[in-house]
Amino acid sequence: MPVLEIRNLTKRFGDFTAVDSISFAVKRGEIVGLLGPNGAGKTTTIHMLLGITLKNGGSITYFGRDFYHHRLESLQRINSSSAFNTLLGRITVKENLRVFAALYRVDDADRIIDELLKRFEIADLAHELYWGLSSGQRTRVNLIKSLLNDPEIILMDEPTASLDPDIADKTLSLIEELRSERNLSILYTSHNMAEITRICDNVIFLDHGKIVANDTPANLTKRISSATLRLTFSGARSTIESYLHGRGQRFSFTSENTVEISSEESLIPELLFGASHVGNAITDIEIRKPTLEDVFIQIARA
Amino acid sequence: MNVRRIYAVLLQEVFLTVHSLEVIMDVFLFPTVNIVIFGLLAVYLSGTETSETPKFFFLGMLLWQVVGITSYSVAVGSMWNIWSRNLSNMFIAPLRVSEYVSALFLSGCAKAIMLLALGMGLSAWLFDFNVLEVGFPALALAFVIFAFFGFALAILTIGIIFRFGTRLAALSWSLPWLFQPLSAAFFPISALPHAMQLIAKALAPTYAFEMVRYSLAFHSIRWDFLGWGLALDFLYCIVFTVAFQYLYERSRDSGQFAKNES
Repeated sequence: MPVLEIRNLTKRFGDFTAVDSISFAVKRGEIVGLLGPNGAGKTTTIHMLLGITLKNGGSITYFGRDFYHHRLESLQRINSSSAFNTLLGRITVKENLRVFAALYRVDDADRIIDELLKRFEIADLAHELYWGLSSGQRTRVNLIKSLLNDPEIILMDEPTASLDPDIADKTLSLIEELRSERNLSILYTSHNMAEITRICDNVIFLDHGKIVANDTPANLTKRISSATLRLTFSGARSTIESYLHGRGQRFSFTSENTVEISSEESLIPELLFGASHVGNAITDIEIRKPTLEDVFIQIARA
Repeated sequence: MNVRRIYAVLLQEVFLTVHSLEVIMDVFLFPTVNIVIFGLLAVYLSGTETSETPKFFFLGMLLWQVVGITSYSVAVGSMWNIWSRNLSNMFIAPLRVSEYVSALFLSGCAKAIMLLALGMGLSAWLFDFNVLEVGFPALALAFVIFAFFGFALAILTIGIIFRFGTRLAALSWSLPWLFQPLSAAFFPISALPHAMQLIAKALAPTYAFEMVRYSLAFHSIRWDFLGWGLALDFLYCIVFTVAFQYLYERSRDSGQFAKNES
């Protein structure tokens, strides 16, 4: 049984359909990425999944039970972390966490909060006012908040937005650790394709409120069969040029001794071999395979 | 309703009050200054007036604070969470709206009781007026009417803010004061112009003030005033709670609830 299952979920704002009959599921221990350009419907979907925006159609099921009929029971077993929500700035980190621990009816809250603060390396901030924290520190406090009730699934809305690369990397490592330790399910939205590729088992592309792709990151990148081969060589440009013409390849010279060839990925070994046997010495090779970002751009521009 | 979740929101209120100079000033300092000003005015008038009028002035200001503070606590308490972009966090926890507003109301009542005690102490010490001359039962019953009226106004206010956005935030601290001159706080309802009397008769605090003034003058409770006050409170609480529920649902349906924090 999936932890979260959505069927034909729809949200309309007047005549505008923000989320158009989408269906997907998140299994136990799975990290699912929700991707899409701005306005694709990601945040609206997350808001409906948390109950702060009402749906117009379809169903949301947590742990096999309808969310709208078992809202409190579901919310007790899920949690959320978003870069766009903060905690109460006027009170301290620990006070904020004590409030949420009480809301989730957590027993032995002080011990759990102290352990999590240590685990996230911010025990020294326990008595600091929340509004005085940096973005990275706030992200970690928000993550602690999202773990207080030992949730089975966390909905994360761009949790690393506005973090510098080092802190973002540490945050992702923490998320990976948490997933493996607790068999946690995560629904993760981000604009950062490298992050998605790194941590997600499955990726859902939303565009204009519809799911346009739903697959593993590896399979999604295979949708783009071409790769770019960049060769730097010594010797005459004309021999390479005529060889590539003869093979019917698309190419362009970026300098006198550098050529970029767009080709089917499967043809690259053959092209490399051929180019090195037409009388030129190849001095540098660079192969750029398609990434999730390429898939994203292709879908967004389609 | 779950007691632990109500306790959680109360805990947040305590932390917020302790850390926020604005809350301390709004809830304790400014009302205390008003109480002292009206106390001094009452002392001055008592040299020129032979009736109970100076005491009425003072009681009007002191007791109106109950409406102001209970309303402030529920409405501005919610605004603190919106301003901090924390309201969504609260409502994606397993918290019922009824638990949330009940906790804020309890917090408001506690603050109002503290302020009343302070005002009564200052009154006895500085102005030689024992507010308990009104009689404890009459004061307690008037407190109930004022507190629930403040709650009713607040629940309507936060419903409007949830639905139409924080550009209407000023309602959360200003709305109760619009009703002060209409509630015959400082003078009998008969002193109001006729048109205003009609409005005053539809407001629960009017009857509470009339009851308190009567109790001060005659040392007994006018049960008809009490009945009208409680009945109108009940009506306002029901109507405004239904209105709040409608506005809250519309806010979630239109996406405004989530947008309030963006």
